[in-house]
Order: sequence, then structure tokens, then C-alpha cells
Amino acid sequence: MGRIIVSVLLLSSLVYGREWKLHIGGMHCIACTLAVKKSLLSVEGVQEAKVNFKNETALVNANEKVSLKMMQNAVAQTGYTAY
Amino acid sequence: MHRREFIKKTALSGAICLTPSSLFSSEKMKSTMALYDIQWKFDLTAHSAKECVLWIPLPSDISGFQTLLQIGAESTATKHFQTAHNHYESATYYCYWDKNGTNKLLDLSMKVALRDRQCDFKRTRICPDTRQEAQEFLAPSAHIPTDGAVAKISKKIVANEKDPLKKARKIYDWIIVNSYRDESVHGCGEGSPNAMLGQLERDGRMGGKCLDMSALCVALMRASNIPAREVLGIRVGPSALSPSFSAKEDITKSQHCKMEFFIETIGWIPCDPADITKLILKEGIEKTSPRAQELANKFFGFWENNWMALNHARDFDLYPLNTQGSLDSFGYPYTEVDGEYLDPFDPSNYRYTILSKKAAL
Repeated sequence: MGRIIVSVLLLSSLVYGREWKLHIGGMHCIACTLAVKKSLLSVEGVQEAKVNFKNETALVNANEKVSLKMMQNAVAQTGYTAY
Repeated sequence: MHRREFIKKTALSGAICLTPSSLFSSEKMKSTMALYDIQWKFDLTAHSAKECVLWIPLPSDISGFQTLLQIGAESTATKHFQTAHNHYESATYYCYWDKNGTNKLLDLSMKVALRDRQCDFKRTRICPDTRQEAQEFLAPSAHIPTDGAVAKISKKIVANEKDPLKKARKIYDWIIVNSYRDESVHGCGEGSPNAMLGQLERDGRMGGKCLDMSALCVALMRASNIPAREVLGIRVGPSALSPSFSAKEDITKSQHCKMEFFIETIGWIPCDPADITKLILKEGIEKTSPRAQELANKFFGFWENNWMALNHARDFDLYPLNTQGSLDSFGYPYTEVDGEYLDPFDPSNYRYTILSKKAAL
């Protein structure tokens, strides 16, 4: 029974992801949104990322295994900041 | 299979009543004139369940160089129309598909008359309105700074020179000497003068493509009090000067940025430092070779009739407004899918082609 509960909890953490709203710094043109999006999607567990140049934001759908730090690192590798 | 509803539109510009012979009456003009049929085809069907919006830069009329004779459109779009309602009055074709449409198609066809634009550098009367309008192109913008490194280098290049035309020539020559064409750069480049000058400081020279060099030339000229602007455009046919400047029938990837500057006693002067760096790379010649020197002299005051100008817009808002904010330049079609920017260089999710055919005069 315990195993079943653990399995259900694990599964729910994959199915019910979390939505993040990140502030993206360093974008100087609309084409930068492509690089930021690509970096966010490269993080395992990120399912969707919508980046907006005007608002300097990224709306990210990810499972619960994804942390802010993981996304910040990925974005930093392309020369931008996320917080 | 869903039923396709085609909305057909055909718009003829005011110039259609002018025949090529009446447009370019003298023999000299006729000899340098070319007519092109250009067709743009877009297919955004891959994004069938999404809202798609497309803004296409259209050619604009330039007195004595370029006339848009005819334009027609056929599309499955919910709405589509031609507009120039933006800060730079850049001719734009707007196309909107809602989420419901399955086939998202647009065919745009146009006929354009082009002729060689050769500046004779003679004094001429420039009307006050034109002079005043040109002053707008002294101002900095988000991507065209005129202070900091740009101001410092500009001052160094022009030194004690007072004559605006000679100052412009010094800046043009300096760009050619200090820059090279970098084929690894995406599209026409970023068009950031500060990025170029940063490279120069770091590496001793600057690599880039046409928008990078034109933007740097524009920024340096503005910093030296010479109105200047980039002109985004596209090569549409063969060049009489070099295969490096030519385009074949498929011109989808033939975008090219030139520039022009304004001298109060002459008017707008066409110019193209970037194509000299392309010539040097493609023909494997030295910058000091007679051929490079000859064409460098020619391109200070010349645009060939195988290139179609689109606009000189930089750092501006589209009309109708997009979701992502101001565009830094408008040389490529700009598309948003559910509010996200669509990469025009990724053919897997963005299918479009531009075809060009020389027409009989």
C-alpha cells in the first residue's frame, strides 16, 4: 500500500507541473527570446517556455524536479540572467 | 478536408498607370533600368491551431531609383491589408490568422522598377522640408548610439576635417579598412555599433555582415553630425559588377542592407561599405587591390539596380502592434505565433520563399 502511495505521489509530481514567471535580463532584441527559450527548454523537466522581450519575462511550465537554480544556470550559459 | 476560403485582394499602387517608358524617359535612364516580378509565398499551416500574425516589409518608392508598380495578395487569412502607419512610414503587409484556420497561406506578388542610383555629387537645390526631415537621422536610437565609444572613434576618424562630404568619405574608408565579412554571423547581423567597436578594441578588427557595417557607418556619421540611415533591402537579380552581389531566382536568403547619408547641398547619397568586404572575401582579393579600390570608389555614391530597398526603420513599433515590443530592424518578415516570435531562419517551423524574375521592359 505504501509503495502505491509513493508511486502516485511521484506520478502526480510529473503530471502536475509548476508554472514559473521569471524576469529575464540582458535581452537587447526580439531574437534574443529564441536563445532564452532554447536554454530553458534544455533543462530536463521544462515542458514549455514562452519568452517576451517587451515584458522581459519568461513563463515556464516545468515539473517539480526543476528548480530556479537549474533554470538560472541554463539561461546564464547563453549570456542572460533569470530571477 | 476543411474547406478553404480564399480571400482575394488585388491592390494597385498609384504608379500602375505609369508605363516603364514614361517613368524613365531618357535613354540613359532606360539603359540602367530593370523590371522584376517578385513573389512571396508563406505557409504557416504547421501552426494550424494557433493564432498567427505576420508583418512583411514591402518595397517603398524612392525617387529616381525604385517604383513599386503593382502589388497583389491572395490569402486564407482572417484579415490582411497593406499599411504604412508606423513612425518611419515603412510599407508593410499585415496578415492575421485566428486559431481556427487550418491552412494558413499567403501569396504576395509585386512588380518593381529599379534603376542604377548614381550620385553625381553636384550641388543642387534641396527643399527645406527634405533638409528638416533629414535632421531626424542625426538622433541616436536604442541600437544606434552616438555617444561613448562611437563618439570617440568618430572624432578620431574625421580629425580636423570640416567638409561633411570628406568626413563621410573618411568614415566610409575607415569601415572598409577595419572590418571583414564574417560568414558565421546569422542573417544580416545584429546591427550593433558598440558590439563592433568592442571587437575592434579586443581583436584589432571587426567581423560582421551588412547590417553590422551599415549600422556602424550610420552611427559614426551621426556622431559626426551627418544625417545617415541604414536601408534594409533584398537582392533581386544578377549584378553587372560581380557575382558576389548577384541573386538567383530564389531570393529567400538574399537580404542585404546598404546605407545612405545626407549632405545639405547634394541630398541623400547612396553608399555600401559592407559589399566591399563581401567582394574582398568572395573574390579573394586584397583591400588594396585595384579592383577593390575601384569598387570602393564606385560604392561611395552608388546602388545597383539588382537590389530592392525595403525601409530604413530601426528601433520602431509595428502597426498593428505586436506582442513582443519594438523591432530593432525590419528586413525580414516578422511573425508571432500565439504571441511568440517565430525564427525566420528556421525553415522547419516557418515555411516561406521569395522568388524573383526579371520581366521584359
